[in-house]
Amino acid sequence: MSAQPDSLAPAIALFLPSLAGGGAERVFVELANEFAARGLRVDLVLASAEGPYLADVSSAVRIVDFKAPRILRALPKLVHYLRAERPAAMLSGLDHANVVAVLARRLAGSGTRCVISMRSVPTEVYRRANSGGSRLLLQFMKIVYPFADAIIANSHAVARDLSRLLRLSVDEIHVIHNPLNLARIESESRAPLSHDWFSDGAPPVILGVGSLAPLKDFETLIRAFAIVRQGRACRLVILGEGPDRKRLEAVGRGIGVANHVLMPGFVPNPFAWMRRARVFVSSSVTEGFPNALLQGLALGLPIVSTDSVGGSAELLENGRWGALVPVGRPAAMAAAIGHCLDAGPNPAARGRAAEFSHERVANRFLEVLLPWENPA
Amino acid sequence: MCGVTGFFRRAGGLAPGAREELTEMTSSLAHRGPDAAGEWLDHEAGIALGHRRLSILELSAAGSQPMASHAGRYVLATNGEIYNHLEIRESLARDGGEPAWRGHSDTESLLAAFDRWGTEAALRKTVGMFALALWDRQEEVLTLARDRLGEKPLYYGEQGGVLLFGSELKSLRAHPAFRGEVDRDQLSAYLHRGYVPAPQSIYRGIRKLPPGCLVQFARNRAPGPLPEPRAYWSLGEIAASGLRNPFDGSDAEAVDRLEAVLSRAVASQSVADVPLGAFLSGGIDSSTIVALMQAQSSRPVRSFAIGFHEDAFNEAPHARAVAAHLGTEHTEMIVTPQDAMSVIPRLPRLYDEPFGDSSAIPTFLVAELARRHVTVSLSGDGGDELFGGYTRYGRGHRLWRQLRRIPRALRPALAPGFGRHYSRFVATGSAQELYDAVMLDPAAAGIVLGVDGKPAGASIGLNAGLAATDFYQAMMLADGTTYLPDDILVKVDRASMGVSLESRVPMLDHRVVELAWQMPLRMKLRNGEGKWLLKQLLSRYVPAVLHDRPKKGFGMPVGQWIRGGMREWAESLLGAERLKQEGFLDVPRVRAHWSRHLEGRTRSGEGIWRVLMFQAWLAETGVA
Repeated sequence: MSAQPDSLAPAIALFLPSLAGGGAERVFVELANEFAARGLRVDLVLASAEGPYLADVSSAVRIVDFKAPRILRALPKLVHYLRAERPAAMLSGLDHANVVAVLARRLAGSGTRCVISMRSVPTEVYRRANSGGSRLLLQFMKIVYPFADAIIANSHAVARDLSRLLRLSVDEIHVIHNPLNLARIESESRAPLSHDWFSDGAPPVILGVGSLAPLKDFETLIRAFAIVRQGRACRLVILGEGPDRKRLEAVGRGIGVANHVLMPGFVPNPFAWMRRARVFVSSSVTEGFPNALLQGLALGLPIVSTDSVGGSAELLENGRWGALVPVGRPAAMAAAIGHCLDAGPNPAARGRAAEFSHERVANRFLEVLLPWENPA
Repeated sequence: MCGVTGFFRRAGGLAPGAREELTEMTSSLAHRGPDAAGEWLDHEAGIALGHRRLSILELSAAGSQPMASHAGRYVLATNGEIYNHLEIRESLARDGGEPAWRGHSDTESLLAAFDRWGTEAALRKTVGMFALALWDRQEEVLTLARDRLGEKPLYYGEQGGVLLFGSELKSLRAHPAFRGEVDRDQLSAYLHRGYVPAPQSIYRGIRKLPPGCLVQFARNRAPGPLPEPRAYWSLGEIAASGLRNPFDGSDAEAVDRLEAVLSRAVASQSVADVPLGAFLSGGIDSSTIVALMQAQSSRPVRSFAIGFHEDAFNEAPHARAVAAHLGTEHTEMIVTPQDAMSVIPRLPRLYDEPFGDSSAIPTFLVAELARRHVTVSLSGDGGDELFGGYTRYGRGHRLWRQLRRIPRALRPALAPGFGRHYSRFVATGSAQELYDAVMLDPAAAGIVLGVDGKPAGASIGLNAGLAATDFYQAMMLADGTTYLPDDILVKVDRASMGVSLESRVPMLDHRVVELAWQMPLRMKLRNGEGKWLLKQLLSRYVPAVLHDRPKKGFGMPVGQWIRGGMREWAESLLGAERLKQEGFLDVPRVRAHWSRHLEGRTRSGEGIWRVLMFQAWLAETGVA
């Protein structure tokens, strides 16, 4: 029992644009806290230190704030940081940050091991975005990413896509799934939630979680919900915020379910909502690795997910742990939701979720980040 | 387990009112011994001995202290346990020096041993943990002595012509002659290291008796410097002898030997006339101790663990799994941040010397939990220092191996290439400098007003000969002589005594320590991992899946708390006006450090936590 930090411990930098709520940001905060608890010296390097997860960062993690409103403006600062601090390894996440990280390491010549992490299927994301900027970024990725020392994908689907894009063998890409802090999810889910939609005898709540963005395709979920509602009383809650809010609200009004759909925005404790919901639905067009779905699984919630490009089918082992439905098909989704409402909870799925404990995942990350520290 | 205190006016005898002074000193230690109090004075000789008792063995009055020897020559007040006191009685019987025993207390055995063999020889025959004050009426000499590894504390110093001594500083403070002048060099050493290193204390003129030492004071000596302590046992010598005569058996034989020696230590420390249990964190050390206890017991052993809601700190599930496997009667308590924070205001009084190790908080909480069920608890402390568990050993070892190849003159030029943090290690010229760089907080330099740079006490003596050949074990040895007694064991003693619980540390049975030092490095460090031998032993009782996982610190998120729930408390202790009035610390530096911490620009809260613990101590003890 000792509180004395090991000053010789290697330093790891985790680089992200910011901590604005999102899956990558949550994962990075959990990794940073776990690495620090193991005595490593951890810097959470942010182009801009803002976002709701900032409060969750352990005090053993140092926050380095470049105060750069745009990620490209962070490049010279990251170069300077790498030259001054010389961390043993740097892990970056999200495409723009990955490009900046690889370039900065080349420019700094710091000997820092540069590991990038990918969390969504890039070609799909950029095909849909289809703007000049996105195509440019995709070109950049092709040129720059091979200069990283290691690439981590959070699902096999992402790894396959990347290997095609970068003309790498799929074996050269490490697949490490997202970590799940099971104890925290369990304990936070028990926090009180006073919303009368969850009072005794209230109609069952169907839950979707994710940013209100086209890739999440919540429109299909709202349309599927309208179909389910024709047969039984129920309600829909979508947790998250994003550019699609107005459009989604209009869809709800258009088909007459607006009063039964609640979109409270970003909530700090989605687990309390999950525990009280009856079905979890993922309607995404593509998913690198569906964090929220995994959290729902950990709480024993019945799952309906689109058989989307990405990691959902992989996580559910092709339907073993939840129902898979085609992308963008409200009727099929509605049928699956109805089936889940009849069937009830899904406790066996918790075992599947346990395979993603944050300790196991942190071990895998460290094997890639500091291979010399893990001789085994 | 108990508290010892008293004073010795070496010339002129005791003044009227001495008894009241002694009562004040003794009652300040009531928490260490709630069961009874005892006082003994000899006005003419100038000696006063006080004792507080926590009854563990010999619950009757036959165990009362201070106790006189049968022949009446010696009077003794002790704190601690002599685990082999029955063997000592057998030796005395064989030796023909056995008195007619009044009871079966270890104090009585110890007195007879002093009578028969003399002070130093008797101390060498003991196995145990203790601090004691022994008055020899015949020679009119006061002996203060402390156990080999430093489990039990003892402070002493001359103030206004009176020699004051006691288990804790608060008993010295209770005497009217006490002047509490903060020693700025020691304050600086504290901020560098997180504790005040022996033989000094935070007060000028008050010292800690080093482990394995005794110091003697004769009556009617001309005033002069205090006599120097002398060692009756020295970890440095034990290490040197072990390294010269290493264990040369096979791996399996090494595990057998350790199992035998450690089992015997656990057995001898599992004797008590009151309920007994053990702390169990689920880590290697405590799991090994509990496994050996359970192996010797037909009934389930009582084990105790605390857990936290924050996953990164929560070891409770690991402890639970080990307990379930071993079949102990396990008690677990999940504590909230509020529970943990509520301990903080008690720390300055508990330690009464600035103490910056935040794991004092969980240690106190687990002691408090154990005390609800038992009076004695075994702990796994010492395993890291004896068997090479800290990660800094492996990393330091690898770094020093690389550095030695680079000519000393070139190192400063190369250092900047290793980055802001690491460059200070690379720039070091010697193993000693490297160890200091690893152990000392560079941010503490220059923070104490009137102390320039690093004070002498801030350097931690490394055995140069050993460091030249084996930096790994040189670090272990240095930790064993400083960090272990002055930080870890202080924490365990104060936390347990604070709730009137006796803690016992089987790893520190000196025969275990001697064996550990006979074990060559490959028994400690193997496949890049420390504590190889101990893990092998544990694996005989607990499958590796239950204990093989990354080592974690047991520090508390104090850094977070002082940014959040305890911010007001911290702000008030760190107020610029207040700091300026006290005059100890460089105000702009402390304020700048505090701001950096609030903005998240520090990697740990340890530095500012040390400052806060000094400030809280200052407020509590009211010295200036």
